[in-house]
Amino acid sequence: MHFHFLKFLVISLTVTVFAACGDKQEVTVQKSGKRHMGQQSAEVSRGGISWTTPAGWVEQTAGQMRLATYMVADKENQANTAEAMVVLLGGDGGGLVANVNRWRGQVGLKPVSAGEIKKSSQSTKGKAGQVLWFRIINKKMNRGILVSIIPLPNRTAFVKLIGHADVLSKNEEKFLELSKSVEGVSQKGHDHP
Amino acid sequence: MSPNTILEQLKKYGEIIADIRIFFFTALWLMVLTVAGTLAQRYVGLYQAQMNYFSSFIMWAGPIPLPGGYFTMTVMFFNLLATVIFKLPRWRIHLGVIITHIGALLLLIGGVLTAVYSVEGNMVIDEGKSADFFSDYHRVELVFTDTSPKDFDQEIIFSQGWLEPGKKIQNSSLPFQVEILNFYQNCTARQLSTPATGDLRGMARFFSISELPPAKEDNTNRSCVEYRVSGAGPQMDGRYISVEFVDQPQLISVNNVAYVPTIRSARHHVPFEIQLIDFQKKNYAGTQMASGYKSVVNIIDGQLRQRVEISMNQPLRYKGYTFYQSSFREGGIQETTVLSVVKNVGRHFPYISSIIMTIGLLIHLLMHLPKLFRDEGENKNDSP
Repeated sequence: MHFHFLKFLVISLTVTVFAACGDKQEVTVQKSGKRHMGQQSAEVSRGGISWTTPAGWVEQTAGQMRLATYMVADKENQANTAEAMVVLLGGDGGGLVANVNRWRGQVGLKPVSAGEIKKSSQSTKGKAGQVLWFRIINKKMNRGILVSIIPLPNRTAFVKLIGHADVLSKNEEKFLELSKSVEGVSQKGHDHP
Repeated sequence: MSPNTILEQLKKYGEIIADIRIFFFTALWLMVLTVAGTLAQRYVGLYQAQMNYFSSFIMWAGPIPLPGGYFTMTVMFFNLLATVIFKLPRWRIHLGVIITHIGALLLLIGGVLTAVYSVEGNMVIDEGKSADFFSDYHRVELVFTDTSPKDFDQEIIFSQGWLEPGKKIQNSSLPFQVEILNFYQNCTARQLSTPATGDLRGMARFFSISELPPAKEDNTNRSCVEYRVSGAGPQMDGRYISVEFVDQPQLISVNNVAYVPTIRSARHHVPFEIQLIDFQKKNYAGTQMASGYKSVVNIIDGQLRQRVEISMNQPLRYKGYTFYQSSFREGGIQETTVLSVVKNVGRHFPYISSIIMTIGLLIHLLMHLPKLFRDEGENKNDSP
């Protein structure tokens, strides 16, 4: 009887070992909402501001603090990419010197003084008024940031393009077009009981 | 072999499997697993303890393989089944016991259905927006998104079962092949001081990944996958990495079509939409601490538009899915509700089996009461 019992246990164990093999391998092809914008530019209104997305910038998942995130690729060498984002913060968004030095740190550059920040700033006119912008490049890493600051009533919008330096130089004009297109829109409020 | 011989052999093996000692030891082992798993939970977290001790066929105590929860309950199931078939043939006498055994078998069957078919996750909806999927708490998927269609994105999704080193992914919707090099349930990504060269592409040129032990809270694990792409052309072929929760820009472009690779929580689609009309929160007087909150939603199912409220004690049950108000996010652009979603086809089995076992025990008791009173009466007559 013990021999038959052992046979039962061995068979059970063998069956369960095979049954225990691996996760299911499934492949699904499905449609989803247009999250990744294609080749055409588009007017976007979100979170109380509006802007025009440049053609060829591929939208990705935005994230909690960003209104939009885009991927930008170098057409000649699509392995080189950069990421653009539109962010809206209350007040002045943390202060110019602090923000610029934080951005410098993101591409591996050391902080600089307020005087040097002022010298490196550039200005252009957009729909919401004066747009202050910076070109921050780490030549050793071949990476950089283009960032613009758009003051709005009680808020500040930021447009940031960070990534491969070649992508930045080829998309600087599109970056500035987007920055100049930013303007505030009226926002519908709602009250909770 | 004649049918009678086969039946005799079956009965012989059936009686061996129906040995009550099997039930005794499997029940005892389940108690050991429960204690060990409960203690281990403190060190490895709830999810890992469940996977190691209960949702496993084999549990490793160092180098020693031991029966896990699944194996133990499988043996118990066959033991109970064999008992009903081979050891309780006289249903008039054993009716109550048979019913109780059937109740126990149903409980185990419900457990199998839950283990195999249930899914759970969370659904995050911004105010004014709608969602038709929820994200799995534990599983991830590797997705290549074809951005070329004008009005939609086409996702080619590979479940976690594909994410094992050496596995090769190929699909007619993808113009390139993918070979998985590494998959980490939990990892960290470190930014490189200078871009890497060689065959590293996309995010892999600027970040390196390394494995971490699984976190105690499973939802804080960040999965990473390293893979090799081939057949996409010399500029695109190479090694890539994708890191969960990190949206670094990278794409694989073939014939001017951009494919965006992403690793994300596995998504389960529901056959309807939930639209968040309003998220409402009440605070304790004079504080910012929530005393209660609820989501006012629309169920959009074809032509149906049904407005319902989901709150802490009032989940929404619709088409086999249950939506619980789990938490919320605020401080961003708008308020966001987080709903826990569960689909469990075995959810009624514990109730049904408990009722059946109770009925079985009552029948057994009632059938034996006359004998019990009769025996008591005889004992009284015998006493001096």
